[in-house]
Amino acid sequence: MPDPTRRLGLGRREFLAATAGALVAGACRRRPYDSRQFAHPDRSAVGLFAADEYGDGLADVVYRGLREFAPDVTGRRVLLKPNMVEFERGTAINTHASVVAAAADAFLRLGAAEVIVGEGPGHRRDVEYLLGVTGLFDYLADRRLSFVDLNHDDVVWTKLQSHFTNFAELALPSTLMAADLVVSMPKLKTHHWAVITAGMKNLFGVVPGSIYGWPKNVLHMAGIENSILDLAATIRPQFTIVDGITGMEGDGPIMGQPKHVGTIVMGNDVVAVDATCARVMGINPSRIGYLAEAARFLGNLSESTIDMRGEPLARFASSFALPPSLTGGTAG
Amino acid sequence: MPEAASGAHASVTLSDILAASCNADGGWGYQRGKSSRIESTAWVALARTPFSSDALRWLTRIQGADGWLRDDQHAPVNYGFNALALLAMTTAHRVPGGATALARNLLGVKGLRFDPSPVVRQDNALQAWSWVDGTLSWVEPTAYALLALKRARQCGVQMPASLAERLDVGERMLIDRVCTGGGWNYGNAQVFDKQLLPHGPTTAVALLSMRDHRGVAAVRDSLVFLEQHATAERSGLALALATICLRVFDRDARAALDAARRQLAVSLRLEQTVTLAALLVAIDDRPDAVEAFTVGAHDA
Repeated sequence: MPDPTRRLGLGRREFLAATAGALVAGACRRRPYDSRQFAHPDRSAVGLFAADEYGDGLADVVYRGLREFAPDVTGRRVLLKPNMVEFERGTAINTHASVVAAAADAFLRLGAAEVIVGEGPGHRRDVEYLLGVTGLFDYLADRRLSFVDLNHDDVVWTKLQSHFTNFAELALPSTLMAADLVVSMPKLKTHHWAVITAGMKNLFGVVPGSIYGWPKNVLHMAGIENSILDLAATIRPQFTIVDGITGMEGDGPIMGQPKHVGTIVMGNDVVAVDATCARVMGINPSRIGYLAEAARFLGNLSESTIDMRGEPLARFASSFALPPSLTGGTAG
Repeated sequence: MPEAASGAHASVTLSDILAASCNADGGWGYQRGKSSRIESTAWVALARTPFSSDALRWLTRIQGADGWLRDDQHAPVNYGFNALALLAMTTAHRVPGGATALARNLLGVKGLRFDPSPVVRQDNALQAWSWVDGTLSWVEPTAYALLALKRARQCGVQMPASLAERLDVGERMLIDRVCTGGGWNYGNAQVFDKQLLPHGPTTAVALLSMRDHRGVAAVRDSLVFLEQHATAERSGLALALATICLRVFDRDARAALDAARRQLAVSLRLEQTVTLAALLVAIDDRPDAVEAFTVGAHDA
C-alpha cells in the first residue's frame, strides 16, 4: 500500500494538519452531504469506565456503563460489530472476546430481543480460525449467540448518505441493514494511515470482501478518510463501545505494541467517542482529518460539547507512540 | 479434544449438509439460506459430489455474455472467484464452452502498478491479479488465476498467445512476495521493515498454483513451511487446504487430515459452504479427488 505521508513528504504533525486541511478545503467548496439529513447533536456524552483486566467481571462494567446512557433496546435486534482482523499471539489487534461477551450480556439484560455478533475481517477471511484463536467461538457458544461473517453475508445495495468518495452506493451486509441497533466495538489503536482507529474506522469491517475483495482495497483507493466518513454517515452506529483495556500503539492496526490503558469507552455519538479516544491516546482529535470533518455534520469533537461520564479522562490519559508512517521513521 | 470423525461418516455428513443447502436456483450460498454465490458454488462443483454437476450448471448459467460471472449485476467482477469458477469448469467431462471466454478475460486482468516504496520492499511493477478492478495484486486472486489458467490449458481450453507472459508475471509476483523462510501472507512479505508471517490457507493455494515449479527455492521453502505448520491453524478451511496441497505434492497429509476431522464439530456448527466443500475434497480418499487442483506432470 502506498504510504500517504511519504507521498506527501510530511512528518507527523504536518501530516495530521494537512489531512485535516485537505478535507476541510474540499468541504468548503461544496459539502458532500445534505446537512438536513443529519441531526447534529448540541451536546454528547461519553463514558470512561475503569476495567483493569479481561474476564467475566466486565459484564457488570459494561452493564453499568450502558445504564448511564439508557439506550432503548427493549425488543430490538442488536448487532455487535467488534474489530477482528488478524491474529498474532502476544499482540493486541482484536477487540477482546470477553468485551464482546460482556456487551452481549449487557444488551440482553437491558431487554434486547436478540444480539448478533458480526464482523468481516479485513485480512484473515477465515473466520472459523479467528473465532477459535481469539476465544470468541467459545463465548458465543456458551451464550448461544449467532455470529455472522459480514464478508460473506447477503448484501443490500445502499445509497451513501455522504459523498466524500465517488461511490454512489455500496453493497452492505443484509444483517447489518436489518439490525435495529448497530454497536461499533473497536479496539483502541493507532493506525498507520488513519492516525487512530476506533468507532468510525471499525466500520471498514462491514464492507463485504466477497464483493469488494481483501483487504477492502477499494476503500483505500477511494481514500481512507473519505471512506471512513461515508461509512459513518451511512451506517451511523447508534452506540460505540471501545476496548481500551489494552490498546495498541506504534505501527497499528496490526503490527504495533500492546499498551495498557484500563478503560472501556462508551457513547452514542461515535464522533465524540472517537475524539475522546484520541485524547486518551494523547492525540489532538481536531488534527485528525476525518474526525474534524465528521464534527461538522455527524457529532461532537470539542471537549466543551462532550459531557464526560464515569471516570475523568485524566485517569486514563496516555501518550501512545505514533506509527512510523506518521513520524517519518521506518522502524517496525 | 474432539474425536476425529471417520472418513466415510464425515463424507456422508458433509455431503448431506451440502445437498440440503442447495438453493432453488441450483446454486449454493455461503451458508444455508443465503443467496447463491460464485465462490461457494464453485467449491461445491470442485467437491465431486453427486450434485456437483448441478453446481457447475449454475456457474455456466450465470456467466454473462461478456464472459464474466457476477454475484450481483451491480457488483464489480471478482477475479479471484471467477478464476475459481474456471477451475470448477475444468472438472467437467466436457469443459463448457464458456471456459474459453472466461480464460481470455482472466488473461486481460492486471492489478495496479505503483511506484517503488520504502514501506513495502517488493517489485511493485509486477501486475498480477487483483480481487477487483482498480486495486493492487494479491496472493489469493493471483494463485487462483494461475491455478485455473494452468488447469484450463491442461484440459485443452483454447488459450490466447498472451498466456505464457501472464503466467510468468503471476509466478514472478508470487515468488517476489514469499515470506522469509517460506509461505505467503496475503500480499506483502514485509511492511515497515517488519517481516510478515505466512498463513496456511494462502500458502496452500499459492503452492497449488506453483506445483509445476517445484524446483524453485520459494516453492521448496514454502512446502517445507506448510509441512511443518499444516496443523497450526485450527479451522476446517485451513486444514482442508493444507491436506489438499500436501496430497497434490505427494507429501504426507495424515496429520492435517486428522486435525481436520477433529475440527469437524466446529466447522459443522458454523456451516460455511466453502469450508464444508473443501473438507469434502480433503477427506475424499479416491486417487483422483485432488486432480482438479493439480498442475504439472504427475510424479513417476
